[in-house]
Amino acid sequence: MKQVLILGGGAAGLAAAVELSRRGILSTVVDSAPSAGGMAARLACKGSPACQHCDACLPHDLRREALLSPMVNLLVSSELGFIARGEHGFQATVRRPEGCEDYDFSAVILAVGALPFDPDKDPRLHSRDSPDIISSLDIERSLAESNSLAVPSTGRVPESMAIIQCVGSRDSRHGAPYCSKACCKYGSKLGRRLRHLYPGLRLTFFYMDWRPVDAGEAAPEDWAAEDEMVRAVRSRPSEILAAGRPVVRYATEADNLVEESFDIVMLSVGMLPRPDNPRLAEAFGIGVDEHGFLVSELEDVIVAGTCAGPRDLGESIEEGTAAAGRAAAYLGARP
Amino acid sequence: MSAPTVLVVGVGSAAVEAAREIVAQGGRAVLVRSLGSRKQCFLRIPSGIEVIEAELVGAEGSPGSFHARLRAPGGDDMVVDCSAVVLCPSTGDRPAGGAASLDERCAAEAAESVRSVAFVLPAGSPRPSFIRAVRAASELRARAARPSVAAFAAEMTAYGTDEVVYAQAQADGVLFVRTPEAEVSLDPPRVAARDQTTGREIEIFPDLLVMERRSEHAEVLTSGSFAVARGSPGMGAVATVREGILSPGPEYERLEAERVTGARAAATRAMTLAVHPEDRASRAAVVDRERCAACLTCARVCPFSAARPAEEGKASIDGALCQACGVCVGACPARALSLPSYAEVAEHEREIIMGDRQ
Ligand SMILES: Cc1cc2nc3c(=O)[nH]c(=O)nc-3n(C[C@H](O)[C@H](O)[C@H](O)COP(=O)(O)OP(=O)(O)OC[C@H]3O[C@@H](n4cnc5c(N)ncnc54)[C@H](O)[C@@H]3O)c2cc1C
Ligand code: SF4
Ligand code: SF4
Ligand code: SF4
Ligand code: SF4
Repeated sequence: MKQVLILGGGAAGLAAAVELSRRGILSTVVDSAPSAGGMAARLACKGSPACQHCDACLPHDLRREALLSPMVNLLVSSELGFIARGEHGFQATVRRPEGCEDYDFSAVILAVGALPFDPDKDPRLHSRDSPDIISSLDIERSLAESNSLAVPSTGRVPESMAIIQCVGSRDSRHGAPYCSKACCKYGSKLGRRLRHLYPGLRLTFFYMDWRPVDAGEAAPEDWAAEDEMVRAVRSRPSEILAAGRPVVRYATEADNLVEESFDIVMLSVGMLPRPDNPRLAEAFGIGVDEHGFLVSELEDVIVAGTCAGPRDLGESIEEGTAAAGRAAAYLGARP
Repeated sequence: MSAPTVLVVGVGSAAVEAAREIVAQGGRAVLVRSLGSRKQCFLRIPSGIEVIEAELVGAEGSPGSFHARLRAPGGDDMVVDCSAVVLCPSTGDRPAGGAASLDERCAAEAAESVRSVAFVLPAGSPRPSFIRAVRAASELRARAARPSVAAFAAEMTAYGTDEVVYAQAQADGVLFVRTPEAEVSLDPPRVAARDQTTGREIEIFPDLLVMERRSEHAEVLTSGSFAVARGSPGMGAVATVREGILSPGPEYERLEAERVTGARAAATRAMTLAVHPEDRASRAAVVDRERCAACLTCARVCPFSAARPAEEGKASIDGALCQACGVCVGACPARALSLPSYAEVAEHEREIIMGDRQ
């Protein structure tokens, strides 16, 4: 039976697998992680309490459907070994914990995702020097696992927090020159979730530009106007200092340099292309763009999700769904 | 089996892309468009797509068998049978002003003699407008005459890799002024604003002024007189609340690349539903009418408005809306509600997930 290889079982890969299975087309999803879901598996629901349309639950639904479908062969803790283009598609070896397996694939969907920016890479953030300067991913994980957040150094309930947007994005010296596109969405929604969980929490939202993915999303100034515990500051902090409590140094509109301390500083990290993208591109005969994201013009190698550029979950899932349609069209045209 | 028919509604590029994708996936695409006040459409329609000049006024039925009612410009109604519908609201359907969105071709059309150009984008401008203005501004700036170019915008919305294009425009000397509402007068053309970033007052007398209009965000997607609410996250990608009616969202809310992706995803979902109509109703919660106490707790708690009062005030569940979320099952004081497949799925899932985690 003809089948499709899906490399990467995150939001995009699972969306592709599920859509193919609904068409009656078999796929094998190969993911190196011990369980499917990708980055989204580490994200929290941002309902506060009503649903905020953060989309973090979608991959869970997709994963469940993929697990239940006989048309999806989901291989976790697995990697692609040998891959070669044959007469009718690709011959591949998949390395599994229990040994190697050989497969023939008619088409390939690459959905290996991106990497979150590591704040330790930017010395101005001093995230190594204070346990209270943490990445948004740590906060997502804490909320996802325990539905709570404590000040890391003291274990207490946080009373003040700074959210710093564009960390590792829009900065070609420390991170990436592009905008990561999903962090305005998740940064503000995480903030609202935290405000709902901790009525006594004062939040300061530092941002340069408001780039919501939903046109209807209220801007930070409107959020601050409706919630007196929230302050929106349009400034990109020049440095985060690790004093007793973390200190944010930023310029005000009038160009005064101000320092303010907080219980927790959350860094809204962006996305970087995976360093092995060029190797993968070569193996499949496709290319990478100027930033290192995958690009394909081949009919039988389709890229989807954040391995192709910065995207949020909604767009990654749409792209995975569209990739399934393209793969189905390709398979249908070749008897 | 003959190719399933999918109706694509809209005049913009997303509609054409969706129709093209449906044909590529082996379907029959019927593009329904109502040009309205526009005399003609400049988009090239690829071969294999049928075009009907009409407005969609209603769609009855479910995935696999919709009866779409179309109204031709003469006022005649016709019914087209189709498997699914892809709704692509275009700029003409924009709430608050149906004018065309800012077009980057305006740069090519500007006279060679222009010395000073201003772009004005108020808060609530269509999402793709900012980067179009940036591209047009850079193109003008690259002319031998080096006209001065300023862009007044409420937000510099250069999403994703568009940021690099925006940074280049800044480096090329395009002046960007952040202001929620620039002051514009026309005779003589004048734009003035206080830049929110630097606090500076800026006044410009351009000889070319390009203005964008704001549009409101609506929870309902409309195309002419046809309207359907956007789906919630749980309904999946490009869903609306009506199963089998898909939408990549309105064109004025999506960037170019997102629009192409969304159109292809909607076409894919439409083709999947056409070949294998899913039945949301078979997963819907069921009411045990013997037990139901007509308290309507379920109607209040259901996040999808699927639970409603019916005969004798007892609850009934609308199978097309129910997402099988189980909220009502837990809330019903009379234990009259249940999800049919839940016990079975839960058992199967537990086995598989345990296997997955090993
Ligand atoms: C802190 C943070 C919070 C976010 N919050 C939100 C949010 O609230 N809402 C939102 O819409 N978006 C959010 N995003 C963005 C979102 O996470 C991504 O858009 C989405 O997860 C991308 O999905 P993907 O399938 O493309 O990639 P991923 O989810 O990264 O999946 C890629 C998969 O491929 C596997 N893989 C990688 N390389 C290989 C290989 N060589 N072989 C086999 N398998 C491989 C990985 O193990 C992984 O499972 C957030 C991002 C970050 C960093
Ligand atoms: S995870 Fe996000 S989209 Fe899902 S229910 Fe929670 S807030 Fe809504
Ligand atoms: S999405 Fe927002 S926070 Fe993220 S890089 Fe872009 S502007 Fe910055
Ligand atoms: S909550 Fe239960 S008892 Fe009340 S109306 Fe609904 S089904 Fe009937
Ligand atoms: S299961 Fe959920 S969606 Fe369905 S009727 Fe009950 S509350 Fe509404």
